[in-house]
Amino acid sequence: MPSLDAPEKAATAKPGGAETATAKALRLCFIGDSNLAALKLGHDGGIAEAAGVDISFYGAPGPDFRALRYSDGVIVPDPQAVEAVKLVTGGDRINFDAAEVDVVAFFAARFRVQAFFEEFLHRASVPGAFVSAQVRMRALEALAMSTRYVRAAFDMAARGHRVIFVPTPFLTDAIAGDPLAKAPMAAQATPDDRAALWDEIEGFFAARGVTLLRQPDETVVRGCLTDPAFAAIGAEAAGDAVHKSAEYGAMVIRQVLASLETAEISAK
Amino acid sequence: MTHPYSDLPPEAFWRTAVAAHNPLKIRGLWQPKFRILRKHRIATAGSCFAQHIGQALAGRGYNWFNAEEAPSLLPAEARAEFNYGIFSFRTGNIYTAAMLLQWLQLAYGLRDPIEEVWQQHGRFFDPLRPVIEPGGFASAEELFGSRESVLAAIRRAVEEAHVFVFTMGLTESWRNLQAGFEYALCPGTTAGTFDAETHGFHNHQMGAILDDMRKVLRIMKRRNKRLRVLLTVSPVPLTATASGQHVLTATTYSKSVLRAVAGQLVDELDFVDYFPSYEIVTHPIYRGMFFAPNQRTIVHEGVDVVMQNFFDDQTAAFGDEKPTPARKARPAAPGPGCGGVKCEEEMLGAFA
Repeated sequence: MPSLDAPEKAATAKPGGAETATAKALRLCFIGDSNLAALKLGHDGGIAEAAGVDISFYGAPGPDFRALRYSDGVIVPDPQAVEAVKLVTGGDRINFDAAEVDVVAFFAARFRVQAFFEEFLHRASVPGAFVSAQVRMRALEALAMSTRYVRAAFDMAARGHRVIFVPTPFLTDAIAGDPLAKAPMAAQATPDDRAALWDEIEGFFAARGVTLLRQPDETVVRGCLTDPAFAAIGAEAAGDAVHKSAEYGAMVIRQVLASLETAEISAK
Repeated sequence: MTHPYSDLPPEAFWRTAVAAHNPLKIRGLWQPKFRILRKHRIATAGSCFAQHIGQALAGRGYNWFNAEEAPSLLPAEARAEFNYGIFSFRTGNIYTAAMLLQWLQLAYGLRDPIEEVWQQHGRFFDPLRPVIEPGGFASAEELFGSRESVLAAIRRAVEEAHVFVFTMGLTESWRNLQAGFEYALCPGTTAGTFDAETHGFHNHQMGAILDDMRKVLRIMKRRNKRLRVLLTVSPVPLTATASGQHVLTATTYSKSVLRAVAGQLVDELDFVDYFPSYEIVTHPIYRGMFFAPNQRTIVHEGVDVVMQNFFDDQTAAFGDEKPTPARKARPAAPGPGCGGVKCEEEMLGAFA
């Protein structure tokens, strides 16, 4: 396994540049849907330091993401999604084989934890709406296992690949109505309330060999929404509560790199 | 010379009302006191047969009242497994009038909280509903958090329902002799440990059941003046009796007492009615055709006939209800147990 400890030997990371890295650089590929844009912008802007790591991207936006088929550690796009994939990879990768990288990091990839946080943060503050940890776990299992690329992540991990999963960020606050209209008490949740749910999600993924990274607390407002400061450019005008900024993307990349570093240190 | 029977309608005579008919075509067994419309919120609780009534009402587009909703992310099979959507609140089966009274007293702070907890293999079981959470709760704190939820749901159901359907199931019960509360099931059968010093058998007598039901109805009516109550008696025989009698005669005793209590309450109170699902399933004219081969479980066809009587008798009394396209009929949640119904008492069969 390449190390993070030799930055002087590492090549400068380039988008979609798995082949441009030196032999010893750690090959990290982010896989995702249109949310990858934030990471790409963060990476290209040089906000995220990635010395010693060769970062690449793989995926497709929206409908084309659904046309990516996963089987046995390999993702293959349906013909209609090939161009979209080329756009993300820079044209040099159409299929993705987990064996060609050292770390697979899913970002967003349709795993939307918003509904989980909304419902259970709300219920935690409403008298008479208590649910047990078992019930929450069954709900989480249903949510996770209904997401194709969560299943793919678990399968890759079972095949011995190193896999990280970063769920879709919370919707951005104050962009398009009130996302918490149906779960108003979720807005009152404390960081501890939120951390308790993240603990459960992390545990669920860890039990299946995947490291889950939670959304940084400094980006969260009103219980389970993203601070508008991290909205994508033009989000307000477009009513886009989903996509995030380059700064947010850079934060995610740093978070992933830090987790790899932590893992390396713990392994020593 | 005329006499009081001269002018009675055909349904007053066995020959014209029963003997001359295919039993499946007999109608008019129920002359409902009040109309039940699709828009009315209908709460259901009681013995396992009440689950059939709730499912059938929901399946027909009636407004079955789910006062303790499952998390929206919980899949259908897990909802049934965790006893969501079985009754209007997650008490599990309420077999006796005393148990219903106890739940209401707890919900409204009319008695001290019941703090007993059963521990088994590191998990925690609620003695008032020991099978509500498969495998038990993670901690006593979680158990009581969930208890608070069910008590809140009971209050909602009582205060917001238009109709409360209660199916009376048993006269036999088990009590904590020291603390004076009633268990849902005999300790030691599904969870807990039986202790002859602490746990006592009690077969409720008619007068006591009547008293308990009057208290129940008083509590409900005080919280919801418009509430109407529809009583039924479960036609499902006892799984087991601890009365010392044969289970068949114990069943007859139990059901007869409950049927008499229901009749008495209907005579006394305008807002209480009785729907004869018990008679439709158990009466000899139906020749036991609604029972499965074990002569205990009610087959789906039996439930269908019961509920068809329910809807037909409502229509006969009040006319057709105009269709309300806004409210679509929804399929009833599937449930495991006795033919799709969660029957905790069935657990006794496994331990007998």
